[in-house]
Amino acid sequence: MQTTLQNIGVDKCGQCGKLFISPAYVCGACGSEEFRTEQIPGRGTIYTHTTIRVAPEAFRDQVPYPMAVVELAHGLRLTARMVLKKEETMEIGHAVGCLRQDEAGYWFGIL
Amino acid sequence: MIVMRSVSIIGVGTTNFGILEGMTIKKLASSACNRAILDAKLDRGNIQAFFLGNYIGGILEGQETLAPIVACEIGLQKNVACTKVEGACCSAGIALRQGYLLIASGVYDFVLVGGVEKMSGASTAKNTEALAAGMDKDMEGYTGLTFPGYFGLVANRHMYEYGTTIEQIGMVSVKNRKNAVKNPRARFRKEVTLEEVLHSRLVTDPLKLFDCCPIADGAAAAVLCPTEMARSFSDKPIEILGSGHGLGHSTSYAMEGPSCTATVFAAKEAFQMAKIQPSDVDVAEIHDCFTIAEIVDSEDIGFFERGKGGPAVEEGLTQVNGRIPINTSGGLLSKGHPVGATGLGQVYEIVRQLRGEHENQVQNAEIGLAMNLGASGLVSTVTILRGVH
Repeated sequence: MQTTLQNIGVDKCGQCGKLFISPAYVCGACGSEEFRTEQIPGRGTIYTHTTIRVAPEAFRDQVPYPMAVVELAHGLRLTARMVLKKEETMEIGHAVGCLRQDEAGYWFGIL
Repeated sequence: MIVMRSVSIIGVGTTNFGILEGMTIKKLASSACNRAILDAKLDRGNIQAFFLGNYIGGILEGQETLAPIVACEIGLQKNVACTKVEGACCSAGIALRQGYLLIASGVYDFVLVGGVEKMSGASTAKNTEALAAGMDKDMEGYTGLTFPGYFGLVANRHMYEYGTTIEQIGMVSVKNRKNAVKNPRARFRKEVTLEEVLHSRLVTDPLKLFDCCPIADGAAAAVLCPTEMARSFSDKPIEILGSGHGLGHSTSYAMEGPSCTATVFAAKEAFQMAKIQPSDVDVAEIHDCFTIAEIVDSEDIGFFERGKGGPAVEEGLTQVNGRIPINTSGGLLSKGHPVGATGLGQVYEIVRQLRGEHENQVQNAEIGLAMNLGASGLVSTVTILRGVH
């Protein structure tokens, strides 16, 4: 894939350093409410996946849409919308990268 | 947990589950609660507290504050503490547990617990949207993931980790639909074949239409009292041996494998209280909102080892005459899933089994288990019941 991969801004606890998918409000590990953004590479693998074919009203015009749980470096995981080319299918373990982020969250593609 | 005294169910009531035109949410709840009180042969003036589970009545029906509204309708006294309980599809399981705890701890002697949902007045899209209100909006609600989608994620991971087959998953639907043929309370009472399940249309890969429970209107209720008083009311009181309530994950990406820690902890707590093992259970109603969920639940509770839930269905171990009969009522897949009522709908079915009155009676069933799951693995209750023969 030629597209430049996006980094992902995660929330790092200002006290104990634990990383969270943003937004984090309270660090459940140490109780701190101070976080700073840290950029981590938007690369990972598919942990699991599905394709939504019956959607809530706000998403009805988008079906069917593929989604995946992506496991990033540091072991963090997130839920992502997937952008698949015609011939592409999702398999657990596939390498994926972050293409962009918008109001629907993170959009990933297969590498 | 220190339990000060034993608690029993002395009465149960339910409506049918299905498309119940003309039945408002208030009418459904009032009817089920009234039937439970009549079944208990209890003067309703004795009831001291009322917990009513409901999930999306506010969104779909515009009706909130249901517990005191229903209490007024069914003639409870003005000193009765009325509380609506919400924990997504686990709302009624939690309502039952609240009543149980308050009697076990000695605060009350007589508690009415119920659950209700009215879903058929809204479109599938509106229902899907309302159900999605139980997802974490800040983290995942905006992505377009749905509850069915979550179980699609779980199914693919379960198949990947354990080699569970799509046929084994589909067999859950075949089994439960077969069980429902005899159950007049179920929405769907027609058998389906495995081929029909496998060839039904995809809803959220790899799950198809017949892997998904239908929506339903419905309500169910139970009356609880201390076991030492139960015999004064019921010839067949059902003792609550154990009750667990666990916390799982608030986002799908936090799942610890194709499992739900909420159920693992709820089951552990309930079995410790009951001082029995999963192998001691004679009959179970567990949360089959999707076919894969029943397989995962059966492993989380401990009926089968991790990864063995699929083969267990294939081998017939969960059939009515199997080693551990699961969802002899037809389950949510057949009865329908009135989300706020389901937990007590399951208890209703188990009580009938333990009284020896079920349409799919398991011979000599003495110990029963009901397991109710809320949201995408977020909350779970497990209740262990014992009939006295």
